[in-house]
Amino acid sequence: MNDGNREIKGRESSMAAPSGPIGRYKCVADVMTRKTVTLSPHHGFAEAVSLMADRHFRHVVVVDTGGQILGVISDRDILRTLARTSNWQTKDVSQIMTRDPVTVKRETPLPVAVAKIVAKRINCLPVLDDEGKVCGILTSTDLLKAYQKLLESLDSNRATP
Amino acid sequence: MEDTIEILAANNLTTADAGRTSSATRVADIMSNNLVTLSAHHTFGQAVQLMTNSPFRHFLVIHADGRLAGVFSDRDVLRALGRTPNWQAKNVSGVMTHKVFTVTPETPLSVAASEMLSRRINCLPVIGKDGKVCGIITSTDLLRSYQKIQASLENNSCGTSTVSV
Repeated sequence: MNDGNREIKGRESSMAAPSGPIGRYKCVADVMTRKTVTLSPHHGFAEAVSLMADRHFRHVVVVDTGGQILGVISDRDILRTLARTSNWQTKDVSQIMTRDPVTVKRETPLPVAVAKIVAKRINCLPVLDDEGKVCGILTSTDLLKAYQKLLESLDSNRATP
Repeated sequence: MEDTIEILAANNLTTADAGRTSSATRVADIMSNNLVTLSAHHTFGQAVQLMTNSPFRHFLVIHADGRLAGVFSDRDVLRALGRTPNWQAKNVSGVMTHKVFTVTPETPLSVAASEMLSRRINCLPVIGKDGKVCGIITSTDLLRSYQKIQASLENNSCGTSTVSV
């Protein structure tokens, strides 16, 4: 786990305490996944592929040694590389990642985050703290969990008016 | 011609959300009937090309009679890539997910969302009464509907905590 080694931390969702009358989540911090998986830019293509194939997640944040975000590598980037380049075996993470990804902050309202994900056709938003360091990740699955809770409470509202 | 990939737009780009409001409660309210389908005999390479060149991550693999054979997803591609040495030689049926969980147009959205979450999948084929595929509902469709509900909740939330749907 020391310098430059692949750092894999468990994901720990933070959906414990619903806020509001029907369990509405209001901002990114209420639903984001706090522990994220990160890679360094020099990790190889194969490492990124095996990371995603073996685990359930589809997005890995690429950070420098100071924890500043450099990019995001998604399953989509891997597919694109695979389909368009013949020498994909020789690529490293920095060559296939998406640079300057769309990000949010902890206090970004959820509707804003949902709108970004839907409009930009992406599935993950890195969450940055005030110093620009990655403090979590918000994925479409995190949002789907929040929506599912909302749907259930709406269902029960309908059942017991 | 027979080896070109068929892209069948089942109902000519009518995503079902035209004119819908946030009152969506069932799968039929938000599903897409705009299907991109593959045949089981397409090669792995053709399927990956198709996936890269389209915004979709899930392709329904359909028998000639319209029944569902399986789902070919980006996840299947990654899995094949990570685990099978001869993935270039595979065809769609060798890589796709055969055992697929499906819903009907009448399935409540809350059920569709919780099945997606618990099964860790992002798409559910929608099967009509005749047993044929009539649409697809993805996590993106659900998030779009979430966006609309949030907008209406924002509008309703001034001064009251009740939610009218």
